[in-house]
Amino acid sequence: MLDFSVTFFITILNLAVLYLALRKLLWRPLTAFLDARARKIREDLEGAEAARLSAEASSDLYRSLLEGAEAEAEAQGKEAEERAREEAKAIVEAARAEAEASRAEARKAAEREAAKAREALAGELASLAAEAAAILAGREAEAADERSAELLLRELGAGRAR
Amino acid sequence: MSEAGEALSLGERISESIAIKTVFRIEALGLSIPISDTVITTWALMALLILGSWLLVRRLRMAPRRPQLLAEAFVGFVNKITEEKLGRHGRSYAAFLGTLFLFLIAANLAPMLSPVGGFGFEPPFFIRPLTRDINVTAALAAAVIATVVGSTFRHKGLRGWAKGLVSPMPFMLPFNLMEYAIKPLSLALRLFGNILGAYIIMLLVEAVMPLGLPPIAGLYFDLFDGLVQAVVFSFLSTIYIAEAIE
Repeated sequence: MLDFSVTFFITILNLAVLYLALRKLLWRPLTAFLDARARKIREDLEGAEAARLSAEASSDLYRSLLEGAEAEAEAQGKEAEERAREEAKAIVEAARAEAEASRAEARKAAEREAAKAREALAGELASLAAEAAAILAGREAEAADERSAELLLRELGAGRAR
Repeated sequence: MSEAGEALSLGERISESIAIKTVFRIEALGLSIPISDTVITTWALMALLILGSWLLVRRLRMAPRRPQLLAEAFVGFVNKITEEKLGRHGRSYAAFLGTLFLFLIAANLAPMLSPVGGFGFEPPFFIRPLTRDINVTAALAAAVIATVVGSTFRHKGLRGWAKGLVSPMPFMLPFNLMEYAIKPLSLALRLFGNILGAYIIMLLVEAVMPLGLPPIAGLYFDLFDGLVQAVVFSFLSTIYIAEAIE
């Protein structure tokens, strides 16, 4: 049972063969595969972390851009409102000036018409007065009578106006 | 008289079971090399392990299936243990220690796959534990101590080895030298004694109660003891190599 035999040397040889075979067939390929997979997982994790950081940076950038755009829109809105208010004011001023001008024009036209009417009325009155005077004097009214009556009326009118 | 005859018969049966038989001889270079049943079983296990490894590693997938998962778990476990114990040199010894561990597991558990006789059926062969042969355990221990000595020279050089022999005090020289004999001897005899003892107990259990008890007892004496001895042998080998290179 405790006899040493050639089995000792054969077993050492067998173990050496088994070691070399398993090292080549099992250990090296599987260890290389495990290392490669661990490396790939590590790289994927690093990639995911980088992507997360990049997404966060992009998110911050977009947020700041959005905030900038909102501020710009608000400023533009205020500016447009101010401009509209000024334009409205200018339009109102212009309208008011135009209305004033129209009113002055109308007033002048009315004055002109009134003067014209007065002229016509004075002529008519002179004619009527000349005719009345002729009737009283018992003769036909002449053109010189009408002119004299008209001058008289004018002087009377001018004296009343004073 | 009859009891003595039965006891003798049982003893003879046990002796016959644990005996190492020469199956055939190889005649080469004027030598007649006897090939024992343990060598045949070793070759069969080697073929099985090599073929199994080749099949497992043939098509590795990123998403592994169960057999690949087992192989990855085993290789990963051995790599981790050797790196923990041997540091940065761990990877270069992982294949050797893993091979040793795998071979011991296969050698100690192979008898569980042996065909069982009885009820007039006589199996064509039996698988008996390899490590009941002192030549096998001594060869494994010799391989370990050769690795230990080789590692010492590789990492410390001749001067470092000589310095280690007289450390921590010069009077430790004989004890340190004796370690080179004691370590392999203890490795070989522990494995041999435990496996042989468990095997003899199982033979006795089978003789006393052939039905019912052997499978239950086998869980401890074949499975548990076999695994524990494989772990102890491999772990001590790792420790010895770690001591040599530290």
